[in-house]
Amino acid sequence: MKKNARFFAALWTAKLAALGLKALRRNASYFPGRLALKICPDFMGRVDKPQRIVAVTGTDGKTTTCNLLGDILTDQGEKVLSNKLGSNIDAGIATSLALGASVSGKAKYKTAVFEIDERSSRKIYPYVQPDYLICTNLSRDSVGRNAHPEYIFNFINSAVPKKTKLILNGDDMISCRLAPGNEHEYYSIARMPSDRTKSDNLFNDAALCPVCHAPLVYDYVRNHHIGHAHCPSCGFESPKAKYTADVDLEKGTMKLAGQNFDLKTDTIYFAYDELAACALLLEAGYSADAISRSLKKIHIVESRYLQKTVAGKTVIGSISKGKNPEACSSVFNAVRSEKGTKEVLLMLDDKFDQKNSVENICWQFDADYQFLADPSIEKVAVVGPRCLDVKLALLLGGVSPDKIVTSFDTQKGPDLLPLKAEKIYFLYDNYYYPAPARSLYDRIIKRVEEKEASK
Amino acid sequence: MIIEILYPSFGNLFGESSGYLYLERCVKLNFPQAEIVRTEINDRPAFADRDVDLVYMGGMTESQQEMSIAALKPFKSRIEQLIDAGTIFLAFSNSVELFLSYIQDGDRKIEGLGLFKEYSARYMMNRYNGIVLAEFEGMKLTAFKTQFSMIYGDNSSEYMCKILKGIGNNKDTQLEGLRRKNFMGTEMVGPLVILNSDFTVYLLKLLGAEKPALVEEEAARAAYAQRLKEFEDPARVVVNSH
Repeated sequence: MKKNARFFAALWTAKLAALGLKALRRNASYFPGRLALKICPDFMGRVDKPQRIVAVTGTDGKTTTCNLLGDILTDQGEKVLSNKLGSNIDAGIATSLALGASVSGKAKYKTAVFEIDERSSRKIYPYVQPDYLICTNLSRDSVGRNAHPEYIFNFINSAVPKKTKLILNGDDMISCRLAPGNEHEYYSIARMPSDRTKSDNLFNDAALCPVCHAPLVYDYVRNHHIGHAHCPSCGFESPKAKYTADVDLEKGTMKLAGQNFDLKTDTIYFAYDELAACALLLEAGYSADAISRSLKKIHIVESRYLQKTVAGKTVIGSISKGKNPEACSSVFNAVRSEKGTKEVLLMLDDKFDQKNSVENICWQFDADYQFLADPSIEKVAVVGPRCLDVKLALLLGGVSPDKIVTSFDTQKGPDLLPLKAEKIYFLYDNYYYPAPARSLYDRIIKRVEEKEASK
Repeated sequence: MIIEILYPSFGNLFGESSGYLYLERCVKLNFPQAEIVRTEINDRPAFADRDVDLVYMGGMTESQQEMSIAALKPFKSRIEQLIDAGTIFLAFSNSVELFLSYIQDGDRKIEGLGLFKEYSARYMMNRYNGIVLAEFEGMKLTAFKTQFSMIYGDNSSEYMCKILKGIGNNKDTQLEGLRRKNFMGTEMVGPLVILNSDFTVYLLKLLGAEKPALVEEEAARAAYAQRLKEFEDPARVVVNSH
């Protein structure tokens, strides 16, 4: 597509808007692109793009996977254009492309790593055709926006450009079937001791064979539809993965392509993000050794995971995506699987919905609160406007009523926990970070310290 | 007593994975001898050959709606017979659409079971979300709507409830769902049986319980009371712009 007057008007307006917003110390990741698209609707098609584009989509793990990819590539000496600080919809990508181009519209970067919102696929891929696309997974997400995984699957499936090579999670029985006509490779985590042969989740959105509708037999299942399955009726089965990793969460290691990689956390969902990033880089020709060396220097960003040991107690702050029952269930599963005694503070309500309406809390009843009934969990505190609904979900999950405390006031969260357990978990919706999650986390730490000092 | 859950492997969207489990537990609490049958899509439904007391369905994907219509079509006259006989049918979320005359999806017309003359129209790029406060048999139901479809047709003689806040079958009516004897179909989600204790008590009474008891009744009623207060607050809007 040629660069016309309208394109240049859009490009320069976006650049000026970004400068202005930065001067005002405002987030400049969305509005400049919105302006550019308003002036020139096919702006993304006209602007020069980096030679190589990597895109990451999927329900969970997009941000972490993108951050890891960007950080590793930067450590390898590459200058990487990304949307890591902002919006992942069309306006966000347009902003990144505008800022990543010179005033004449030429690309200033050779490589781009973009996080792409699943629902924005049809608006972005006609103009921005990734060389590689990772789909981390597809699962139940906000029912208001994303309805159900099949809806999102169809969005991506119908929009992926033919030239794009897909890097897919072979353990995800839904997203592994994306764009079968495209070139693709799979990654997978080999069977782990903690895997089960029968799901103990409330639901599995790939319980039936997508071909003949007979019940799928899971050779092993990790969470929901994440595992390895086959259909005894028609022969449909999990794909064979080129990149299969042996993961040891306790030791914090991942063995892949003959190389040992450090795991950044001891949770399976972050291990998948790390594996996705590594699989893509291996597929793109980077050496396992180089990736491993870069990975050693990188940390999971603070908004996703906080951990500090104080007075012999480990205090963990972790994102637990609200409105997303599978993400919350994965975190609950990780909490119950950890060794030692624990206390949990939950702050999962949608702060936007609650402002002038009432949050649709149906998703809370798809979340596996029964995992928090584990005997190792001594107290569960729930804060926020929907705390009584969450309390009901916890009780239905089998959590003992004497272990549950609630408060409508999120600020009271740190005071609700007795802080006697070995591990204190604070699980918060992503929109609560940084405020108020960060300060509440710090208050938990302070309380632990005060308690220790008063002994 | 026989309670049949239809297609629990997939008819469990929007909280119904707990909804049907809760109903099962409440039924067992009141009727320990009750038989719970979970029927999957390739199975022959229990209601085809036996006199079941309650059939339960929850929300599903659009392709699963079509699978379900095809699976239930051979039993259309049997379903009709059971409804006439007073069997309780609960069809929540978009499972209510299976029982309509058809589902219009753009240019496609998907034949339904045709037990109700109404039809639905799917708007896959225009999802409706909102809160619902409804009057049902003298009680107030708190629920939500999250759907691609609207139901059209005159349901004034067989609606399930009157909407006090929110929308009914579509944006132009306050009459929600479909009711014929003990068939209750509605696009509302909750799960209704968990969020509305009085509604579940009503169902248990229909099943013959004299003094119905609910699982976690105290906590369920406390959560309902708080929710009702917020739903009735005029400052709280039906559709959040966020």
